[in-house]
Amino acid sequence: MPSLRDIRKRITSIKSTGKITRAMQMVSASKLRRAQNNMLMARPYSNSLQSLIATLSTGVDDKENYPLLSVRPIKRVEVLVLTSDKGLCGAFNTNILKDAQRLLIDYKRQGTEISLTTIGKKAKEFFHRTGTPVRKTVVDFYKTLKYKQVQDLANEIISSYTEGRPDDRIDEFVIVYNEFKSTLVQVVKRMRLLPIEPPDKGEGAIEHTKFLFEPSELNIINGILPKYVENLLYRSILESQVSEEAARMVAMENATQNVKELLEQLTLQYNKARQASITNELLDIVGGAAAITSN
Amino acid sequence: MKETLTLEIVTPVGFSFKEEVDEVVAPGTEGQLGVLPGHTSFLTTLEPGTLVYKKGASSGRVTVENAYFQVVSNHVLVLADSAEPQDDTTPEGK
Repeated sequence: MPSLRDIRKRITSIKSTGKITRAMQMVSASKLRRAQNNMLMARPYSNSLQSLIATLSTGVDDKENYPLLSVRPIKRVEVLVLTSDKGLCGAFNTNILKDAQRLLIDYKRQGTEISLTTIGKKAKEFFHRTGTPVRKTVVDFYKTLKYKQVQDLANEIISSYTEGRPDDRIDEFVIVYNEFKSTLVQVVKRMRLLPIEPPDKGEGAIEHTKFLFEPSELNIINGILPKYVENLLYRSILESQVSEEAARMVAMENATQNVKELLEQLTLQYNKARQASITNELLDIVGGAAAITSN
Repeated sequence: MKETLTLEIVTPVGFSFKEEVDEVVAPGTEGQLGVLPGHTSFLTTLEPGTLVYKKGASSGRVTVENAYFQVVSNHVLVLADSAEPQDDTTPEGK
């Protein structure tokens, strides 16, 4: 049986942990709102771009002229893993890393060469621990996330896809990220960024043949496809960010709940111990008094 | 009823703008281009510059960068990397 003082100590320490988790929960809630807002703001552009690409790609017969659309035999693949910089967000990073690991093993079994790009400290640490070589790693990406940064990254990806001799260039680019379903549910998703998979034509899409292109169809399409890659990358980064904050918020909410339960138990234990010590003291007093009177 | 154009400008980070206008003049790569209602479906790139729209007697300007300009059945869609409205909307002739 722990002493009264031990229990009191634990209660204080748990109380202060609870304060921290509650504060983190609130911080995440506000960050989540901001991230969700970013996602909402990005939506009109993505939707317009997506329907435009869908329209344009239906008219593309000769994919040779559009390197970003053409599918090559896959010899080398690049995988981008999106994790967070900070922990305490439940299974967010674990799920992603587990899936990425599985993907890497699959590729290895097929004899495909793999290179790896990671975003976030958690992925960096994980692959360092497992001894997997990483081509490029970016940390502290989210703090000052600007579209320009995403553009730069996308351009780098595109040039590693299109440029170079057939043996050094990559033939496929895959992103592994957390898709945001709801605050409670995030799903690990693999998305092929390159070669581009043209999005489905939505309803009311415009017939491609009716378009007049200026300067030329080839120029325009080859100019707009990289925009689409940028946008897909940006969107998955935003999704990952929203998922991270949602996961953290839920994790911290659970932690706060656990603190409450623990405190209840400990308070009960504390009161029992206090009661026991009072009873003991009373027994001592009564016993002492009885000893005196019997004399 | 008089026909109008729907001008919509969107950027990746969230600036979006939608308005009914009478005329749009944009800095196309192949030269300044003007769009009036009833224009044929059309897709082009824009030079960095100022897009001017006219609505009745007033006009507005938006600075756009790296933009794609699409016209489909009286709907003008501008996909720009960045867009900044200039707040000197003045009645014409001033």
